[in-house]
Amino acid sequence: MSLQIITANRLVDGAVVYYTTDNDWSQWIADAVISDDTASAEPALAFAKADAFANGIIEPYLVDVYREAQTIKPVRYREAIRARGPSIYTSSEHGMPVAAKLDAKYASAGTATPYLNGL
Amino acid sequence: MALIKDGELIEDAFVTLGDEGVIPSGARAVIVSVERWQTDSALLTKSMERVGVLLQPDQSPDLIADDLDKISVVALHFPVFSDGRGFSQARRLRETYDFKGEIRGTGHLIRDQYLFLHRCGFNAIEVADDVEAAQWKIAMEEFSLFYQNTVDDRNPVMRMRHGAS
Amino acid sequence: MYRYDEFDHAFVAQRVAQFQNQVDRRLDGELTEDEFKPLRLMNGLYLQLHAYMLRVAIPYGVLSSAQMRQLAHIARTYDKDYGHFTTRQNIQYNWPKLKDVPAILHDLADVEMHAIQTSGNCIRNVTADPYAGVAADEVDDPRVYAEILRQWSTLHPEFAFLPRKFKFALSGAVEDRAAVKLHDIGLYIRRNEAGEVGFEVLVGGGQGRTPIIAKTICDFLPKQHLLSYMEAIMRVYNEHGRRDNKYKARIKILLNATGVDEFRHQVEAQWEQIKDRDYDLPESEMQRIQTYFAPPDYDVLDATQKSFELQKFEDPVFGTWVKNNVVGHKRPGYAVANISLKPVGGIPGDATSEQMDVVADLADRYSFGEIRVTHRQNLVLPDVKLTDLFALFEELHQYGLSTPNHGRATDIIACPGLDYCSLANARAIPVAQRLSERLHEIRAVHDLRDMHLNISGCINACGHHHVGAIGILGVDRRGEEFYQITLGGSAFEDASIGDIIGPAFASDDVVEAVENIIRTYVNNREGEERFIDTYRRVGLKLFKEKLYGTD
Repeated sequence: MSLQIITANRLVDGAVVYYTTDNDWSQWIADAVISDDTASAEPALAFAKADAFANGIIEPYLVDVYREAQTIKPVRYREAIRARGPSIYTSSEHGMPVAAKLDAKYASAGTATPYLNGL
Repeated sequence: MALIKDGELIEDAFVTLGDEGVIPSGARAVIVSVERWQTDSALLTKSMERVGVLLQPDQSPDLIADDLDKISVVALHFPVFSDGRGFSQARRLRETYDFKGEIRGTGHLIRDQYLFLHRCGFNAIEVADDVEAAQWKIAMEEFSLFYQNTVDDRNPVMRMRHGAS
Repeated sequence: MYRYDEFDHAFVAQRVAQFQNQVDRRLDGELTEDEFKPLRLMNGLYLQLHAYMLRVAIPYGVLSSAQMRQLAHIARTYDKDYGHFTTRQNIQYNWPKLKDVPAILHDLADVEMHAIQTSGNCIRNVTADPYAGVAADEVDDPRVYAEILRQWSTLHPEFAFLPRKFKFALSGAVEDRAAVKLHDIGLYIRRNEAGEVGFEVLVGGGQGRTPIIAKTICDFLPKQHLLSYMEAIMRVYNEHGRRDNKYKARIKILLNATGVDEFRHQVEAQWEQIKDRDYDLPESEMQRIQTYFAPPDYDVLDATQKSFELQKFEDPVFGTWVKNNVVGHKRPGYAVANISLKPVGGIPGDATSEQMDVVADLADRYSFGEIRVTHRQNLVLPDVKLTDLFALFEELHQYGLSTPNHGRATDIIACPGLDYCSLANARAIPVAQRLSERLHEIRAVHDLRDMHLNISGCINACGHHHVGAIGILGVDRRGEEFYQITLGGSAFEDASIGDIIGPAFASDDVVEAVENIIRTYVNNREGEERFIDTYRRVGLKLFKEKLYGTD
């Protein structure tokens, strides 16, 4: 069977967290404790669920992972996105407004922004 | 089980029977299923001071429409709090059939629903004996303004705005 | 627009206090997550992939400048400096902390807003034509009735635990800009032969995994009976809608199983019982609400403004924006300006705090302080003088808000998809971004009107893929993102559900596939024909052959 880790969201802010070797929760997937059999994964999950409030987390569940080089990677892309954050630059990270960026791009090529031409 | 009525915890004078349950000696008031009511209504009305009928969410109030003058309590069952059919059943009992007796909610209900239930015509809720009635009372009083005219006597905003009290 | 009176203010304050108490009980451990979840959902608070998500209601898409500024303030103070406008004319914040949510609701209440019933199996935010009150083709103003429905549905005690969520949409115009036929209840405002105002009542439209066009159950409902008739429909649904299977729980399934005639019969029988019980609004209250929607203080202007004509001629960039994004207004000398939230390569429907502030300021200066949100995830300034359009455009341009693509191929609807949403099967935003960048490079595409591309990251269809001229649905195929394409959908008065063209495409191939489809359209188009008309004329087969080959 594949390797598994336990994940959840933090109650107070919803942040993605992973169950760690010292019975704690971390925002780093690298800290996650890895179970290589159901016998060890299920009791750990039951423990996490039973004491979810004391742990400050909600809705813990198991995630299939594999090891690559020195890192842990989720098998499913859903969990990869969850571990890494959105796969896009959020709109506030874009910085410069897109139209202005385009204008700059085309201006540097010595031409006007194309959608404005000839229509 | 106990009852919450008008925000207070009170003892339930009714014994709720299943389809088959034997009427306990000394019982003066029982709640029975619709099916049992339909077969035993004559006997029940004769032997009991008061009789109630329990409707499941898929049982229409129409089933007991002609008998409502003989029924003191209609109990509406909620298998799970999110199954809202009982709200409509209660309103139909009050609106269509002008039922004046007790409408009680049984089953899985949460205190955050108390106000909605009351607004739809429920005046008793069956709860566990150890429930904190004070919390239910708080839930009932969280709102004092309402946007709909229903079967309760709360004055809706649309009337308050125009001076009606 | 509608303004809260003392009663509305007090009501929302009570709701905020209630939720503050619920959050406190949760953070104290008094409530478990199972107990808290239904309560937070009733206030639009979800747990998504990376964080909580708060959905704030924008009733029928109408915002004041003060409200828009507050939405910017909330994004800046409690979130990551941006918000996402949705296909239900709402706004979503993707990163609020649970402990901050009561404070956010408090800030919203200060500007007469809330998050009530933006989730859960209840009546959701009522949506309407974003051009309400200013459209040249309007029979009557839908905002009046949308506000009446908003108030009536707010904490309606009987309909808080329906079989499933329930959505209303209204249009008072000839052109349907509110996707009325894709709602649980759709209302078209009509005038009868006597000139009285009423509603054509449609029931059972919806998207999701079973897309269905709504059917008319009443040709003309006099307006004074609106609420009692709605109560009758809701009651039939509440009692008889399926509760054993959440995928079959919407009213569309009940209507189809019951049949239109029998359903109408049940509604009318129920209505007979309650129509005279004072559940309808008194005339005085209807009039009170109506007064809030009186037209603003318009200047008397000529329909043609020389300076404006000259500006269009002298600045072709401005001219293009006017041609594409500005539409006619019922008053001479005024126009409706569409503000695109679809910059090329951007995230559909997102606006930064700064952009929200800018739009608020521009609304104050040029549009009587009012803004609309559209179900296509854009904004509208409804009342701009022709002579102000140039100044408006120049300022929009500085903030990335002047993309002249209203109704064009790059005006893409996309749900948050798997970048945010815990229900999604695939990402939607990156596909929209790649499509937008590619299509923008193709000149022949810029002038195609009503070229609606809609993308959903799962079958729940928040991205309205069923009704896109080209619809794209993300699916998970053995752990890989694939995209199924549909053609020929429409959300307008000629509503139709798109047809699946064939096998789904891998993420890397989907842009090329869409380009192929648009090329087929352009090459087979007659005159100025819209995509939907070409498609209906030539049929799926041609597109399919061009896309997959003829073997």
